[in-house]
Amino acid sequence: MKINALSSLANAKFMQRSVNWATKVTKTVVNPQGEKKLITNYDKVQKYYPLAFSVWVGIMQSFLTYKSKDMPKERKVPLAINIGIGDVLGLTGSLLVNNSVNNFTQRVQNRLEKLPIEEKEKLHLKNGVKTAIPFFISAFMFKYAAQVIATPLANTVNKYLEKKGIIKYSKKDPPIKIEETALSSLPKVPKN
Amino acid sequence: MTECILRNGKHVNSSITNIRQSNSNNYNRGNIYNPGLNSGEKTNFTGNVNGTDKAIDSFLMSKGGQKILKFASLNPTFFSLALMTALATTLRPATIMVVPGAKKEDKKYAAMKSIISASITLVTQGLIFYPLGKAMEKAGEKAKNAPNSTKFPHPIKTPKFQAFNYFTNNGVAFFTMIAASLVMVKVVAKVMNKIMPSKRPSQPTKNETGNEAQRRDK
Repeated sequence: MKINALSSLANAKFMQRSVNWATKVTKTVVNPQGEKKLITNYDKVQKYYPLAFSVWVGIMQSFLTYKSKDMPKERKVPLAINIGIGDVLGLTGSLLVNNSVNNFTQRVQNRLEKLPIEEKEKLHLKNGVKTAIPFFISAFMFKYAAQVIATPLANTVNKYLEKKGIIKYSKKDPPIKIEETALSSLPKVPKN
Repeated sequence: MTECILRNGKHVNSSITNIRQSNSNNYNRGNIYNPGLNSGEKTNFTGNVNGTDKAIDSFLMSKGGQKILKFASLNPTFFSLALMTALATTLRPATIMVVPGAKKEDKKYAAMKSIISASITLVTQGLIFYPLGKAMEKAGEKAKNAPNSTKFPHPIKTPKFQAFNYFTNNGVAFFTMIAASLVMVKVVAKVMNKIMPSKRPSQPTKNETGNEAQRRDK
């Protein structure tokens, strides 16, 4: 079932066109060691698509949060700003770190080859290094550090916007009220 | 940091001057360096190494490190998912609550958003992307083994297969993202309304008229 669907997708015209476009070789690069490397459109897509995707996710999530009718306005505006800032910060951070992360992984792999470990194990470990280290660092930047920084940052941005009058928490919005508990529903005793 | 710990662990007299010296290159650490190999030799098998390399070596040679790397190489999707959910459901909300600078209610919203979006990604990954990846693999294998038996055109590990794989995966991700974030916003709002009902306008009960409710709230 799944495979049939996949094969019909793979045979569709637009998909064949795009796959052919992706595998087209645009230029060849020669390493300082003299190795030739073919660069295709697919490499470019891999480079720039994650950027576009995370921008899309950030914009959409913060927009949907801003438009939500269930949240009180005092809460949802800071949250929307928070999501946007977290996305942008994490993205720029991981882009900045990207090069050094690649270097670091290469370094770990080089160290691994020098260590006295069995060849079979070494292959496994090499694969693990390749997947784990970039992922670990990007997860830390994008999913943890940026989001943690974004929360207080969003608060200051929100305060600034409120001060400048760009965002107004109008009086028509329901004011914050005290929770209705069992005690408050009891008949009140006059003070005097 | 790691260097100091390593050096303390390796019974080197670690005064401040020593650590300072070790940071510069003119201090020879060839003799004291023992990465804890199976043989108890004190000689260094890779020549001169600096502190970071030492840390890398000790991580690679340790049993825990090898286990983590093996797990990552055998099932990368589970590795990434486990790490992501662990970060987003425990550590991140805790840190968000602790870090000062925002109102407490905003912090609560941010923490809850983190937990809920992480669990949503867990569900979507498990229900959509893991089966999709498996199906892709199967299709590629079929095309590789018997090209005429299936209509799937690209055998596995060819550049065309990789490009097709990338396009389908990301295409699906692009559109599921909309639904997932819609669900996220809804669930966050609902959960927060249940946790912090004081932020919601209290509705007048049946016994009271609207005027009475207003008066009481003032």
